[in-house]
Amino acid sequence: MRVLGIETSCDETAAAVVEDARVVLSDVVGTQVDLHARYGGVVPEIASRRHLEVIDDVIALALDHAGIALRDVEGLAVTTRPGLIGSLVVGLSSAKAYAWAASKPIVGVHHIVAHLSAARLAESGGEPPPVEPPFVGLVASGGHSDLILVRDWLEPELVGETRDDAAGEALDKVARHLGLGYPGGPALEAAARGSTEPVEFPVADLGDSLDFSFSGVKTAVVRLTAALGPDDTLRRRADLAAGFQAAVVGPLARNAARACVAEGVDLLIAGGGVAANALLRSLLADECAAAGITLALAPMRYCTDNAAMVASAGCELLSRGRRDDLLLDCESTGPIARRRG
Amino acid sequence: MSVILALSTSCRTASVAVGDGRSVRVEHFESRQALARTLMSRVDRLVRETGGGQRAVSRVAVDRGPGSFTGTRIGVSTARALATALGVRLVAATSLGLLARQSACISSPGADPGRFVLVAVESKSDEMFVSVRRADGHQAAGPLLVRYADAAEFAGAFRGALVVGAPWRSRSISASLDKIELAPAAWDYPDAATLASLARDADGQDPREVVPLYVRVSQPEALEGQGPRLWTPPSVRIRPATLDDLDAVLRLEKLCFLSPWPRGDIARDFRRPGSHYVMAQVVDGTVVGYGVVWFVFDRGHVASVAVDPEFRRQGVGTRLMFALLDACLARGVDTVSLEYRESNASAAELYETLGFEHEGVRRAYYADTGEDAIAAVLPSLGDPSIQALHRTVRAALALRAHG
Repeated sequence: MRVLGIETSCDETAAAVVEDARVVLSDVVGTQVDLHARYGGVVPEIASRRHLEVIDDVIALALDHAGIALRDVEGLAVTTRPGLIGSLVVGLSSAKAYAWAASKPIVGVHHIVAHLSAARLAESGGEPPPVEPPFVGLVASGGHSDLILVRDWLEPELVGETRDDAAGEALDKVARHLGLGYPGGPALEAAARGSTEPVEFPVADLGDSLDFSFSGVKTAVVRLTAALGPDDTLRRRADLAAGFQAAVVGPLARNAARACVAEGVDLLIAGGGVAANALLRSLLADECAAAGITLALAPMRYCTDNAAMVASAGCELLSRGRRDDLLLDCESTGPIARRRG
Repeated sequence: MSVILALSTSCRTASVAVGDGRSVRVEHFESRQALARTLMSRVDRLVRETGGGQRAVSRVAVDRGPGSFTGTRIGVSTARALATALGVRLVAATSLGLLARQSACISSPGADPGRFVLVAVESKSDEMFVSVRRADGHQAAGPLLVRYADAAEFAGAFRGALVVGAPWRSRSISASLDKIELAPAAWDYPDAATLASLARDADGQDPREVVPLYVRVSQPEALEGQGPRLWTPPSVRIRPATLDDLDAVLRLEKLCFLSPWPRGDIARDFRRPGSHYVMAQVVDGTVVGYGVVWFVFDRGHVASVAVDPEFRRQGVGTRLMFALLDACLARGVDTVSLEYRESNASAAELYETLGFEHEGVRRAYYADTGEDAIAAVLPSLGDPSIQALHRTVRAALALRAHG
């Protein structure tokens, strides 16, 4: 089954064609990062405008790269939640219009579930990784820090989430505070490589919970830099960056492994923009090796927002008979139900 | 069978229309919350009711704003995708253009083609987008951003105008519209039916070239000083004089003229029933200009117009003149005369702009310099061509800072 995926939940305009949920036939991402860099963060109105200007070209390119026409796909999948509402409606409106014009089924996809599905994707020519439920998925990005138990792709259950900032959001804010630029995650990671003596920051103790909290450590950085003053902050910037990065990605890796043990599953997958962080990837590998858990990381290029993961998740839904009608809607929030018991 | 599919979603009342060349089927609906959810199913139902399917759509048309950013985007992204997927051309029209076209149906055939038509759609809660047009469809200015609080004053600068669009219906505005006609409520919003009939004769474009007309920019861009400026009412106001203005008139006389009137003469003239004084005043109350017209039998004679040198070249003198001419009209006075110093080029320019004609030269009229006076006359204030000229000058004055 070939599915056209469309993603516009934040600041990437993306379209992709994926076959049988795993094989990427094409993957086009129109990034807007340069448009937002001068404002130090995503400006929703600018993002929405840009989505509309480029989306039809992005879709045309995705079909073209896959070597097919719209009539050749068996369905469309579009991100409908969660995300910036003004951005989501552009993808949704376009997707419904294409689906109607070509008489194709359409299904709405949850953005977080799509990030999990990214771990199933094979980069062009590669063998798709054997990712099958049950597993625990870690999705860490600028908008989310979730641990999700998947026993069935259609019934994801939340087992842990951030209680304040998302991991990527905390990284962005501290990067900006340290004058490292935008986007903050990669900037902070690059700065941390120059560290000789990382500053140790306290990590929130949430007891047995698998939740996260990053606002305390963020405040600790702000307090410390105020005490250091501008000159010393600049001199110790690499150490501050390295210490803060460790205080954010450390709990992500630890709680992800703990969740697998608690739920008795032996597969951990990780996706989302922060999953492209090298320190997180190596910590996850260490934790999983120690606990005897198989680790499936989303390929680097499918960690950040893309439409291949949306097409993949949509393919799962469509192939199991799920369909939406033309009244499909989108919403800015989209909580995944907490695991019962 | 082939049909034109038209979408208008920029305003609170949205519409979808399907036209088959002979008739147009249209559905209007309140768009605010459920637009993204319901738009495509409305399109689907309407196309089916017309007896066709997707393949019957031979052309798509869309209202590209200005109006609600999100509403416009939902319509334009839907229309672009439909036209792209169906391989047909996309016709785009602005919301303000559609309103203007609709208003053309209101004007009777013999109507004045130079009449101003002010079309407006909602912007943010306290602002509207306005396009200034003539009844013949010619666009004079716009789109401009006008505050609701300033809207009645803005409209007042366009004598005898027709105003079209929902924002004008706001009670605070419609109650203060003077000599302005408010179009019927049926034309409050751009209508997809109008768009469908317009699209029949239009060429259309590549759908990917069609983008919304936002007019406004995003908030951080606005903070950087980008985007359109709001229309602002003139900071100098014109008002009738009271006896308390005597000192101000005296001060302006000394400030502006070589041989000011003596205080006693002004005081006497102030009380004369045949004299009409108007004052120009800034917000803080400072008087920066005045004018006076004498009514002599059936004539008006503009005896003096003075503007503080620091406030010249801002249209204050022109607006004082209009206030004096309005006073003439109110008295039924049709002919207006005046004199000015031969060396006063800006006075010559102003009076020519207002349609005054050269009447003669009064040799050595001014005792102080021995300079000649130019006598000028406006033979008929009520003449339709003069009224049209004044309407245009007033409008240009209101729009001067806004291109």
